[in-house]
Amino acid sequence: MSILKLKDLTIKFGGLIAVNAVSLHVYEKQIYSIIGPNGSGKTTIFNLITGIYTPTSGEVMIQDEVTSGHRPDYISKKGVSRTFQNIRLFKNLSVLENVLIGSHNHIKTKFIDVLLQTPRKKTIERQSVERARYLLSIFDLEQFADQRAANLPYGPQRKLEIVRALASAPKLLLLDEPAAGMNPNETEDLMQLIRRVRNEFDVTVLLVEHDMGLVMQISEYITVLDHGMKIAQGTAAEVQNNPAVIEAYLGKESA
Amino acid sequence: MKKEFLVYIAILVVALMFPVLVDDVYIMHTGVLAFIYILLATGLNLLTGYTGQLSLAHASFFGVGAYTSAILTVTYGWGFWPAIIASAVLAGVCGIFLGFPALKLKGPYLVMSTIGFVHITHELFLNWVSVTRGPMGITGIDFPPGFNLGEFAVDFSNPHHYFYLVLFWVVIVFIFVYSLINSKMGRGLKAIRENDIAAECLGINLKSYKLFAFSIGALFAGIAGSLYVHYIGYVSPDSFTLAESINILVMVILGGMGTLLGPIFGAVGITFLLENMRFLAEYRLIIYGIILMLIMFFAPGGLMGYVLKFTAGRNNEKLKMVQEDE
Ligand SMILES: Nc1ncnc2c1ncn2[C@@H]1O[C@H](COP(=O)(O)OP(=O)(O)OP(=O)(O)O)[C@@H](O)[C@H]1O
Ligand SMILES: [Mg+2]
Repeated sequence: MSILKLKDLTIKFGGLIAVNAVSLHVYEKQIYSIIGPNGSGKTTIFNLITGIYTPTSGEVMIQDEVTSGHRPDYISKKGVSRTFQNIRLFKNLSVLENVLIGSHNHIKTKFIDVLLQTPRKKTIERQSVERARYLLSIFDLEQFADQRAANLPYGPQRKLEIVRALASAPKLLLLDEPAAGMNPNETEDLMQLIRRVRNEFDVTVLLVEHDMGLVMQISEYITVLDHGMKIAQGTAAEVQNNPAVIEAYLGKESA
Repeated sequence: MKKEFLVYIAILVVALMFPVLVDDVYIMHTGVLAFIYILLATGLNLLTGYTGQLSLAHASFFGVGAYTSAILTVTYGWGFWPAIIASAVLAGVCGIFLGFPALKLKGPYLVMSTIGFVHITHELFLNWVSVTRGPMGITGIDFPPGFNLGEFAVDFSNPHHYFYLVLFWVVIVFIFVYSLINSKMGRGLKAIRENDIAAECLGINLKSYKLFAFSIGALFAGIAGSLYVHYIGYVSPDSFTLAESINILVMVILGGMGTLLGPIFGAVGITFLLENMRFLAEYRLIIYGIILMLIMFFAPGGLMGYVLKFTAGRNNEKLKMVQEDE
């Protein structure tokens, strides 16, 4: 069953067509990658899916509901969560609070529970903290729980963004260059984690990544963009041998 | 019990003892004003310190509360209690009026629109003569009615007694803000302050959260306005200017933005500082300015930021209440 469909998705910024009639299907529990040279429109597609941008034409469908045109908080409630290429943590809050805010939609305490310090509040709070700590432990971040997020090293900050996104219990997880700035060991580690998360939490992963080693090993399906247009799609092997893809990348490098 | 609560209770005990220990009417008078400012600073802190929406319109809501109470009691003969509730509600509604245009604005542009707002309300107070009596203001506002507490007669024309009325509201507002900040809603507000796009992508509705913060902050100011006019006995437009907004903002920043106790220390500190420096005559504001600059230089997170750094000792990485730039 498909969880995400893009139909002729297009967005223009002034004269620039950043995403040009892109269509694709992502199936449940897939690890699906979007690759392409710098400026080819990958992040813009994430912004379109999560409702930060409204498409000029075409549509985004999540589980057969058209979601383009809705605000990001609505789309989050449909089970979509993401990380950001330029990290957007809640810097002055603790690592734990970052994760708790991730589970915002699922924490059912009401204001009155807090006002009266009801047992219900204490139970819910304890459960959500436990769950947050568990998620942190998967990513080996538990020891940072009480620190300010801004004090974390770069790699752990990227991982924390994934944990925060996971805390919202998404069906579809969008990762925008999660391995950027990581060393090969950390990247290898991250790859295992992405697989584990997909299996343990039954999420679909849509990945944007420049590290081709990671992309080719982990992706079950790949779409390649260039200048906002889809130029190829297929399995890793198919994409790697596609002349249009080679040209897009080599053309870019020799420029 | 948490250590945090012991601190709150200790502060409450000090506040309760204040009128008992202080005889001087003038000091008591300053105390009443200081505690009215706590309400104002706490409301602005919710909006600016916790939600990250810098506003210079807070005096507007102070004014709306003040005029609402004055008009309802003097012109329409309402009692104090219904009037203070109406002041709170009307100020809260006005907060939403400011909030709507502010939804799309950030940083300097938001500040500009709030400056516009405070000028508009000031002009309204000044020129809507049929309702506000214009520059003459409204006089003859009564003290809230007293009552007997057993043998003891409570008389609100006495500042020693009025102080407890203000303290009562301060405690209510404090408990409310404490509960809010420690609920998921409070986390949502802080998330908006820290990164609105990330917050929205995690399911936080920016519009309703921001409007809520604007409205509750204004509501507290409405309560303060009502308490102010029933204490002073008259109201005039000059009390609700941009300068007054800035004064409240200074209290929040100096006390420590985004902390529960910051606005309390800020309001009490600044009110007493300004009152006690009257003997300096024309040098007063210069010295005041120098003191503000020194404090911000040595304690950029405000007084509470400084205290927290101190109590957290070497482990100050744990400071999550203090807002710092990267
Ligand atoms: N809000 C915007 N306004 C104007 N142009 C934009 C906007 N967002 C993206 N663009 C443009 O759209 C194009 C695609 O940008 P996008 O960020 O999606 O690329 P990308 O594939 O993610 O690149 P990278 O690999 O460098 O992250 C770029 O030319 C970019 O300048
Ligand atoms: Mg990008």
